[in-house]
Amino acid sequence: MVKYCQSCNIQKAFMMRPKTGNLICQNCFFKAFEDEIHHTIISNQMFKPGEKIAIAASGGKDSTVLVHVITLLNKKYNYGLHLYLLSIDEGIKGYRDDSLETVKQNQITYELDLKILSYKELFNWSMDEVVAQIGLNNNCTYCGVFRRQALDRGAIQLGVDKIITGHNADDMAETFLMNLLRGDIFRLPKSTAIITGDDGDNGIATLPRCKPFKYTYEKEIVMYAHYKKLIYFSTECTYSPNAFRGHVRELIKNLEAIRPSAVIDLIHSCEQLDAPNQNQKLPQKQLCQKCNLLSSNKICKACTLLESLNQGRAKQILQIQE
Amino acid sequence: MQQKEPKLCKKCKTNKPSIIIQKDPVCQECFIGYVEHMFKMSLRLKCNITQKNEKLLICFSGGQNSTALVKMTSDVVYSTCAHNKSKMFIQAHVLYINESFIMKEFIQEYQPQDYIPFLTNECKLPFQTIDIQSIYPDPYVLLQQLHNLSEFGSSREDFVRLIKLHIIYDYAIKNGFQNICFGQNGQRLAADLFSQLSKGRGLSLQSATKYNYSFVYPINQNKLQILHPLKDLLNKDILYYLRLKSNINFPNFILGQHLSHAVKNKPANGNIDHLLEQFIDKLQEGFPSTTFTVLSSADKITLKPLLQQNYCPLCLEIRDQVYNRLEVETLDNSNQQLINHLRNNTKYYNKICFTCNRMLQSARELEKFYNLQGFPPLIIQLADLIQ
Repeated sequence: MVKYCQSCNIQKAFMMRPKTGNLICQNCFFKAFEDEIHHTIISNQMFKPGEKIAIAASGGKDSTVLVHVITLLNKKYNYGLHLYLLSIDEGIKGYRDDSLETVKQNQITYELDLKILSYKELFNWSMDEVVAQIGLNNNCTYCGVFRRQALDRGAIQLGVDKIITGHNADDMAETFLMNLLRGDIFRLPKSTAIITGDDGDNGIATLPRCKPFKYTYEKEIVMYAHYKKLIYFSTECTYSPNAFRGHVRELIKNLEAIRPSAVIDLIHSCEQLDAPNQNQKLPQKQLCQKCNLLSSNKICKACTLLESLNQGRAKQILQIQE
Repeated sequence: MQQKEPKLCKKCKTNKPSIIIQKDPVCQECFIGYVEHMFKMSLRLKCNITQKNEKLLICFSGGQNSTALVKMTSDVVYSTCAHNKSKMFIQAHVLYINESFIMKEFIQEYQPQDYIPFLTNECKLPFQTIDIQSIYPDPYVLLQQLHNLSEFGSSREDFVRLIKLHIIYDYAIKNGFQNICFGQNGQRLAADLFSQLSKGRGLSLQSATKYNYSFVYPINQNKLQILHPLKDLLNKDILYYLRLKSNINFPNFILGQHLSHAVKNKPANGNIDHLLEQFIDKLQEGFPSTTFTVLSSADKITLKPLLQQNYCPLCLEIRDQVYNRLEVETLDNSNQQLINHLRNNTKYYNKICFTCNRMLQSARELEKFYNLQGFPPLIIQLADLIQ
């Protein structure tokens, strides 16, 4: 028996939409996917005409689809944005060096300027060297902190107004649950914030980071990339297998299998939360005394981690000399 | 060669330890004493049960936690604790909601349990049994509603829970009980919290895990206190407590109920509550501070102020705000027509909260649900009263 698309009732259905479990044809799926991202951008007043936007591009499925969709919507709805690609090379052999080739391909396809910054040139440490020093415990912490600062620095060099990232609904739901499990009540309300860093406390603001894929499911991003024949790099990071996030990721996948709307429902739950009340001691935003970038302490986390790495290297050199 | 000294109980330093409590090895007697002490302190200091002859309604389901709750309450009322014999002058009353009517319909291997010997002979507390279907003018409407609900995502189990809550609140108010005790331990509360969040009930972050939560019943504005006196205990504490009280004739425990026939190809048999219980239990084993970190975070969270505080007539929770259209609908035209039709053509669509809407999605005969057709008069009365 032929099954028809539940949206248009005309075309034959070609898949079950992960978000709803409804049957949908290819055209309706592409249209709904792009319309929902457009609605997310417009309803949150994400951009202003004339703004310069850096797209954080890793070569993976999320950022590849992000580049494609933002370029398309920018033309279709005349957002008036100037788009740039910003890539960070963490220095992971066999992983990042391969995915950057995909980013370079995107640069040509979409005719966008590309800037690549590496951990080695910014911090004098590649992730391979970091892992060689500290092993596989807490390596994701180092990478995450360094990447955040590297993106900020790259965006400042490009002179852009905002950064957009490919964080999707599944990522946001995972972050919400992880912050709850870790007891991080300061980050909890911001877990699903669509724009972060634009609050400007104490007159100190960071470059706003926007997440147009907030209501977009990871599975739909994969399907979109597949059926649009977009080229992306799909290998998991070499150093990530022991991450705590894996437990939560598995939970989200299981929840989605039982009830597709569970991911959006988690985001909806997080939206009800407010910032911690004034009785809670909030970390004050200030500028790092070493690198002059935003920090919640006198010395930012990146500089603190770097110092510990450099001390470890100094000890090794001394041992070798002895 | 010096012989290693055998480890002794950290508390009494006499007996051999048999369980670890907060990293301290304790013997069986000291463990029972610890549990009884925790329960009393929890009731007095955290649940604020301090007045003489204060009335307490104990909700009993036949599960391990509520069985332990009833037994502990009986011990403090009759001063039969193993250690500290100090009595609490409270008027405890047990309420049991009999779900056999539903269970026989959905669970083939269901065997009804007889709790009367346990409640009368072992606990000696006054109790009342209410059949769940008695709240319906036509009991078979309840079965029909359950069949119409989706068998996935715990929709049926959630609906049964809502009906039970209505029965409990109504009974409490009619019989002058301001304090209602539930038996969930800390680990179960953490799992319930995650379960509620996964269903979109973010507002429950502030109330679902409290020792003592105040709730205003919409009819007559009666104030009720929802209590969780076993919040400081974990699954293993409850299980071990029940095992050590093995001279008590406990009934067979009801395992997690599942009201669907063949959901074998989904994780946790398609039940969100079970999935989250398994998740928290697994994390608790690998990371022992999981439960208390979650509960402590929930205590500190604040919620965004709502423009209006209106209740949902089904779950009696405050209706939350939807901040973006994409939280409730997609732009693929597959559900917008249906939502518009229900919004414009049913009496109570706009009064139902986000999570109850989710529970009803994929149900058959949706209009009947949103018109509260065949529902208990109590719920219809509430729906008419609520704005």
